[in-house]
Amino acid sequence: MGLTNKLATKIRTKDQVGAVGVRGDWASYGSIVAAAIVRGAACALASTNVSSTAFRGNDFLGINATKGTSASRIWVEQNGLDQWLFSLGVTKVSYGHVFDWQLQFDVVEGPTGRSVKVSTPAQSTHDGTLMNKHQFMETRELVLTGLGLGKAPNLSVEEALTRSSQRYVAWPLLELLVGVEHLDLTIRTTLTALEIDERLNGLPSRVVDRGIDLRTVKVGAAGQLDDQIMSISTSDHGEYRDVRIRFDIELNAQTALNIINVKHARFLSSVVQQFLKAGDPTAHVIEAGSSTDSPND
Amino acid sequence: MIEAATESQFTSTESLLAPLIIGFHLDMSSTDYLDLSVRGAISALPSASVQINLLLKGNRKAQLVAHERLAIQGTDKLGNVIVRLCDRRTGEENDVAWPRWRWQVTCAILQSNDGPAPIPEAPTNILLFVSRFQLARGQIDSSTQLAFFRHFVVEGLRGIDPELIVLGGQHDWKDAWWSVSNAD
Repeated sequence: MGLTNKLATKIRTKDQVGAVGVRGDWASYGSIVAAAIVRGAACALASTNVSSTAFRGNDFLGINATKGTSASRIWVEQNGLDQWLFSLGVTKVSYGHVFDWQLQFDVVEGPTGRSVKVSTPAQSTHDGTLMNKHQFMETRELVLTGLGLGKAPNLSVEEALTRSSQRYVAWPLLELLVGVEHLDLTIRTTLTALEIDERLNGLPSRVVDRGIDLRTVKVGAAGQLDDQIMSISTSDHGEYRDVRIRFDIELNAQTALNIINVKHARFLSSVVQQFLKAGDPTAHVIEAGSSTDSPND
Repeated sequence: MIEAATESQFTSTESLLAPLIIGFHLDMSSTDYLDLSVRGAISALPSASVQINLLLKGNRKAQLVAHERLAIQGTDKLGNVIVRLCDRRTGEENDVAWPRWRWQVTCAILQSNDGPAPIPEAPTNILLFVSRFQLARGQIDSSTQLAFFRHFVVEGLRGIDPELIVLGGQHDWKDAWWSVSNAD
């Protein structure tokens, strides 16, 4: 029995070559369609109740394998624009992976056109039978058929998976802070007001209001979130200019999102410094609030 | 062909795994705006404190080990910017945590020899795609951070180029996802 199973597994996991019907430029089109096909297969598999076991070794009664069974995990890796590695298995306590199987798809350009080589870099068997063999066959066929047809799959499975992923707030994320974050920084520079203005145009944040000596930019996410504003004001002192960055925000457990805004504000202020120093290496941060005639006061 | 591609692949979808094609109107040669926006997104991305049951060397029993799940920037073999969400243990360098990924996003600037630009009206076409991800229990691993990262890269680029064109997967934001109270 075991021998028959082993032979069947050997045949099942043998390398295959399939046609690729995706036409057009590979980088700007083909690889995107191929990636969608692989994603579609992954999402289809993820939406089933497939399970795997981390147990390996001799298990005569099958007790250990049953004890160690848990929901399978799927890893999808795209290497470059022409290789996809698809793995099914579970994680183990050594932060390693136990794979039931891996499927690798390599798209190659040949004299007669594109083709895909399918290989099985890793596999696990139980009594000679490939673990989760039906899922293996189905995944391989889905990808091969998709690539052969050359059409991107319907994205509804992916969208359903996205919705499912967002149903829970995957939120071991927040270190909830309470208090008031106050960012007040002044940079002294010899750049002219016009040069400062030009440099700040590259700031990766939406401009809310832009005046000669005061610019306000939006901090944080767009959409329906409350806008948080950071002000960047310039005051002229003859030989030098002071650029003052201010951002105030109140934090509490209900406004956890604001933590993100604070992080973003800190980054933006560092970019302002970076931009000013690129034009004026002598630009430097002076004591906060030492600028006495900031128009923002 | 590109029109067909635009219709089939880059039309609006709510998928978090679908790629983004971004049409950027400024020249990237003098300033790496993409890198700037990616760094902005990483800086804004909240890190997560997670406990993972691990069997550490020298121990006979697995124990909970604290990890910080955070985004780390790197470069792939083709020179593209990549960002991974990794599990880093206390005191570890990012390099050590790099193989412990949850997802990876690749940000590639499409070159003229890659074929016709999907968004021809924009001089710079950026392809932002999820090059590594994990699925478990019918969900995308660390999806919230992934959604936020995509959103922030787009927001950063839009801050520089208000006329930015974005096609493809999910990149907008909805408050409802963040409601702390609806966690089951």
